[in-house]
Amino acid sequence: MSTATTYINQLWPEAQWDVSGAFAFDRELLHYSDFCADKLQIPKVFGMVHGSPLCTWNSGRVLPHLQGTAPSIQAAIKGYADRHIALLLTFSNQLLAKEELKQHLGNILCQAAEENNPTGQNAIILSADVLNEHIKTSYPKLKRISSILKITCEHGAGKLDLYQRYLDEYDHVMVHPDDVIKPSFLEQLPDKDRCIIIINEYCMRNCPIRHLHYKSLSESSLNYIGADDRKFQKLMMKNGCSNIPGMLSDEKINVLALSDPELQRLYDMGFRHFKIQGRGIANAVTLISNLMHFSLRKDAPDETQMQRLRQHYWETITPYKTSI
Amino acid sequence: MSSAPNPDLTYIKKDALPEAHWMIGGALRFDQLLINSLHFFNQHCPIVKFGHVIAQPACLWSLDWHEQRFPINQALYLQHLEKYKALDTGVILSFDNPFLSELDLQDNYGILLCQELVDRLPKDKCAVLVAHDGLRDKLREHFPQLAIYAHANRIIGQRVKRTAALYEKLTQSYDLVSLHPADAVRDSIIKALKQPEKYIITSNDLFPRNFPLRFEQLQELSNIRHNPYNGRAYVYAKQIADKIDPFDATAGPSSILSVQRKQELYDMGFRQFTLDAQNYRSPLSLHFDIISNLLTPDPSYGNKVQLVANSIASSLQEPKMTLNDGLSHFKTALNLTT
Repeated sequence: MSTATTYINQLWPEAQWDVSGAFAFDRELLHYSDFCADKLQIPKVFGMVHGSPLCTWNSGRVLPHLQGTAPSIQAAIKGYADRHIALLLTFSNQLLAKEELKQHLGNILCQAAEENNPTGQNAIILSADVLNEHIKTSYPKLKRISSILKITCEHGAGKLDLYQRYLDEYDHVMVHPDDVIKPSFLEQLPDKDRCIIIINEYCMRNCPIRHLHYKSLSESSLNYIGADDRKFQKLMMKNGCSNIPGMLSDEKINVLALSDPELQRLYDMGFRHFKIQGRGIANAVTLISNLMHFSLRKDAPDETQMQRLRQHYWETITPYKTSI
Repeated sequence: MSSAPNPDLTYIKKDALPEAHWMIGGALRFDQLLINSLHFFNQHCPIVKFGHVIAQPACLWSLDWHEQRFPINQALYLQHLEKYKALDTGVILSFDNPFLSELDLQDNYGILLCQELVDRLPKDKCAVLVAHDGLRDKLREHFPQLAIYAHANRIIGQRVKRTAALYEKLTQSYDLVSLHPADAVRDSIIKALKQPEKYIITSNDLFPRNFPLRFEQLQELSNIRHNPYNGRAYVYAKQIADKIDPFDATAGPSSILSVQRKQELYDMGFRQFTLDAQNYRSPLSLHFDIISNLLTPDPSYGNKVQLVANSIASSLQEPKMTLNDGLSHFKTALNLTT
C-alpha cells in the first residue's frame, strides 16, 4: 500500500507550501488538495493559500478574474477552513491612507478569517503601516506577514537590519525576490523559519523596475476603473521584463524562478516556508503545474508512474471538449 | 518586447533526443494548444520542433475515444491545414479504425480529406496513418506519392503474436510502422529490428503495458462509430476505460517510456517518436507530454522549462476585455460562439 512518503517530493519533505490563488482558482486548489489526500495519502499537500478578491486593500495582482461574488468568497473561505488550510489575505496595498481603513470588504474578510481559523495561522499580508496598526488592534487573532511589496518598495534588498526590524514587528517576513538568489546573504538571516521565499517568480533577476511595478499595482487597486498604467507599460516594454529569449539564454537577465538545485540549497540552509505564485495568470495551469512540480516526487514509485499520475490528474479535472 | 538575437538555447534540448522526429497527436481537437506551442517555439526556441502533427478527423475510418465528434466541414479543415503549413509543420491524417468493411472503404469523405492534404502541403509534409491494409491499398491507388504509415492499431486490431519478423514484413508495404506501445520495452523484438529508422515509437501511451482489453476497446469504439445509437457499446467502452486506473497496483507497469528507455531506443537508432492524444480528454495532458518529451529533463534547467510551459499555457486563455454575456450558458450548450 502506498503511503504519503511514496509521493511527497523527497528533496524537501518538510517544505511548507504557501500557494497563490485564493479567490481566483479555488476549485482547482481544493480539487488538488483532495486528489492528493484521497489518491496519494498526502493529508495536506499545501498548508497555506494566499490571495484576495478585488478590493482597495488588495495588491500584488489586480486583475479582472479576481473579482469575487459573495457566494464564491464564502465557499472559498469554508473550503479552506474545512481542510485546515490557512488563509493569508493579500492586503498588501502600500498606498493605503487612513480613509481606506473603513473599507467594508476588507474588514468583512478579516472578520471571516478570524472566525474560520481552525489552524490559528490565518494571516494578513501587509505593506502599509496604517493597515498593519489597524489589523493589530482590530483583529489580534490574525497573524501578520510583511509583504514582498513592503521590502521591495522600501528598497530593503540585502539590508539585514531592515529584515531584523520586520522580524521584530511581524510574524513572518517575505524575502526580497533578489535576495532569494543570494545564498551568502540568506545564510545571515536569523529566524529562517519565519522567512518566506518566493520560488517561481517568472520575472527577470534584479529587475530594476520591480518597485515601480508594485506601485503601479497599488495605484490600480485604489482606482480600478480609472487607473492609467500606460506609462508603466511602456517602461516594462523597454525593460524587457517579458523578454523570454533573454530570460532563457542571458545569465544577466535570467528568469528569477528557482531551479531545483537552487531550491535545494535554500532548503538545506533551513528555509521551510516557500511561496508559489500564480494568481496573476488568467488560468490555473501554471499554478497547479508548479505546485505539482515542487510538491510531488518525479521518480517514484517509478518515473513513469508519476507521469501517469499527472496524466490522470489533468484528465480528471478538465471536462471533455473537442477543442479549446 | 525585444528578443535577444540568436540566443544559444541548445541546453533546452540537452538529453532530449536532439535528432528525434516528433509526430504530435491532437490536431483537429487541440489545435489552439498545438498552434500556440508551435508559435512559441518558432519565435523563442526555434531549436525545439515538431516535424508533424497528427490529425484524426471524425469519419468512418477513424475512432473517437470520448465523445463522438461531427465530421469537420471543409472551410474549417482547410483553415487548419493552412495554419500548420504556415508554421512549417507537416500534417499526418490518422485513420485508426482497424475494423473496416468493404462498404466502409467505399466512403469518399476520407478521400476528399486526403486530396486537400496533398493539394496544399508539400510531399514531405504530409502522410497518412492507417490501421487497415485495405485502406492502405485504396489510398495508395488514389495517392501514389503519399507516404503511408501503419498505425499501432494495425497490430492491436489483428491480435497476432508480435515478432520482429512480423514488423519487418510490414515495412515492405508501409513507409513507416508503429510499434505496439508495449513492444518498445521488449528487447527481444527491439534488438531484432534491422532498420530502426522505419519504426514509430509511442512515448506516452495511456494503457498499462500488459492491458488485456486493448482489442476489445477498439472493437467497441468501432461499434459506436458504425452505430452511434448502440448504448451497450458506450457502456462497455466506458467500463474498459475505467479499468485504466493508475492507482491499481495490480495493473502492472505503465506503457509510458522513461527518459532512460527513450535514450536507449534513440542510441539504438530509433528516430521516429510520437505523442498520442486521441485518448486524452484534456489538452493539458498533451501540453505537459510535449514539455516533458521535447525539452530537457535536467533539473538544473527546470525553472526555464517551467517558463516555457507557463508561457504557452497562459497563452491558451488570455484576459480579454469583454462585455458580460447573460446568455453565455445557452450559447455554450448549443455550441454557438460569437
